[in-house]
Amino acid sequence: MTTNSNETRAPISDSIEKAFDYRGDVTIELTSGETVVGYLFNRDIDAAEPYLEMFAKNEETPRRYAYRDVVGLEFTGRDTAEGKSWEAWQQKVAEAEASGKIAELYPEELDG
Amino acid sequence: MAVPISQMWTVARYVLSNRLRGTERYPLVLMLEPLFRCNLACAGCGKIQYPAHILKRQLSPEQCFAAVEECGAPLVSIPGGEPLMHPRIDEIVAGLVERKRYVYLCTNGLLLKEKLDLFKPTKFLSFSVHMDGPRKEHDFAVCRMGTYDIAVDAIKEAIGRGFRVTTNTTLFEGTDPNRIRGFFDDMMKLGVEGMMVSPGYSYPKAPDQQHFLGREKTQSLFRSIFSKPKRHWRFNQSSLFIRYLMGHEQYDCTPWGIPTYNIFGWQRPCYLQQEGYVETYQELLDSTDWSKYGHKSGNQKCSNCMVHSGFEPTSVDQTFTISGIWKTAKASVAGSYI
Repeated sequence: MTTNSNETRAPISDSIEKAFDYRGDVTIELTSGETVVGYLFNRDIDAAEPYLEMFAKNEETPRRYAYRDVVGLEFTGRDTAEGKSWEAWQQKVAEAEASGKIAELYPEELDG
Repeated sequence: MAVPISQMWTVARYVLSNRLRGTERYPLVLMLEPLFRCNLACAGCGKIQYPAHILKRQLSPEQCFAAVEECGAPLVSIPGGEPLMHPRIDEIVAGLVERKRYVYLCTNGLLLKEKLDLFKPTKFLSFSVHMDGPRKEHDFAVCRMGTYDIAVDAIKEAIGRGFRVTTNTTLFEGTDPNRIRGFFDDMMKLGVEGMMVSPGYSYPKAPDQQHFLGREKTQSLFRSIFSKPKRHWRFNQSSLFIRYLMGHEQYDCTPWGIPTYNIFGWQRPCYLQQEGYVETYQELLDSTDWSKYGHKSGNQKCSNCMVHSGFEPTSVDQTFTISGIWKTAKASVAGSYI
C-alpha cells in the first residue's frame, strides 16, 4: 500500500490522481486505521480542503474523504479496460476469420 | 415526418431569449446518463469500462427530474450505457415528457422492439438509434454480428407504431464516404425523421485509441460525404454543424452547451472528458475554468475533437445570426452545405 505522512503529502495525492484515472476498484487506508474498498470517481485537489469521493461496494451513497485523512492507497481491483484494446479486437477478428468463425464481444457478467 | 415545428420554435425561442438577455453560457441539450450498463461491449466506447458494482448503479427518476429542472435545457438526450436496460426508463421518459422536454432516447436498438410498449408516441419523444454505417461497418464497430439487422427491424416497428425515430452515426478512421452516402439513402428509405452524424472522439480512457479521426481527416471525409448531398437526406442537426465538419466554418467548443449528468454528478468539463464532478449545473458553470478547453486553449485533449456535443451548441447559437440564417436557409432550400 502506498503510504503517506504529513511530511510527504505529494505521494498520496499522486496516487489519488492515478486512482481517479483507473478503471478498477482501489482500497484506501484512513488515519483511523479503517480501510475502504471501492471505486474512486472524483477528487478535488484545488478545494480549500482537498478531498476524494468514492463509491464503496454495497453502499448506495458515495463517501467523501479529505486527503489529509488518507494514509494509503492500493489498486486492488482489476482494471476493467485492460485487454480490451482495438488491436485485441482486430486480432480476435483475424483469428476468427482464419478458422471460419465469427468474432464478437460481449459485456462481462455483472455478478462475476 | 420532419422535426415538429413546436420543437424548432421552442429551441429558437430559447436560444434567442438567452442571446437577448446576453447570457454568456447556457445549456442547450442535457446529456442524461441514467446508467453505464450496456448490452454491447464496443471496443471504441469509453463509457462502459467500470467495476460491476458501478455498472449496477443507476439514477432514479427523481434524480433525473431534479437535474433536468436545475439545468433548464429544452432538449434532453438520454445516452448511456443502454438506457433501455434501466428498469424505470419508462418513468424517466414520462416525467420528462410531462415537463415538456424534447427527449432523444439513444439506443443501440437491441431492446427497442420489446420495450416499445413502455412508451407512447408523442412529439416530445424520439428514439435515436445508434447506427454506425452500413451493416458490415456497423456490426464491426459495435463488435457484434447481427446488430444492424435487429436495429433496422426495431426502427421499422417504431416508425410503424407512430414514434419519432432518428439515427445517430459516429464515423471513424477508414470510413468509405460512398458507403456512408448509400447508408444515408438506406436510412431515409426506412422512413426515419432525420439523421445525426458526428466524428468519433478518442476517449483518454477508452481501450481503442487509434481508429479515431483527426481534424484534417474529419474535414476531408465530411467534404466527400456532403459535397453533393442528396435532396432526400434529412438531418436532425444544425446545417452549420455539417458545414463546420466540412471545414467551412471555424467554431470553438461550447462544452457547457451540452452538459452531462450521471451517477457521479455533473461531469467536468464536457460529455467526453472526465476531469471531475460537481453537485450542481451552476457549480459546473461557476467553478470550471473554461479557458482550458477548446481548440484555442491548446489543450491536447481538445485538439482533434469536432464532436457534436461540443460544436452543435455553437452551431445552433450561430444559426441565429444574419449569416447563420442565410446559410441555414441555403442548406434547407438548395440542399447545399458549400
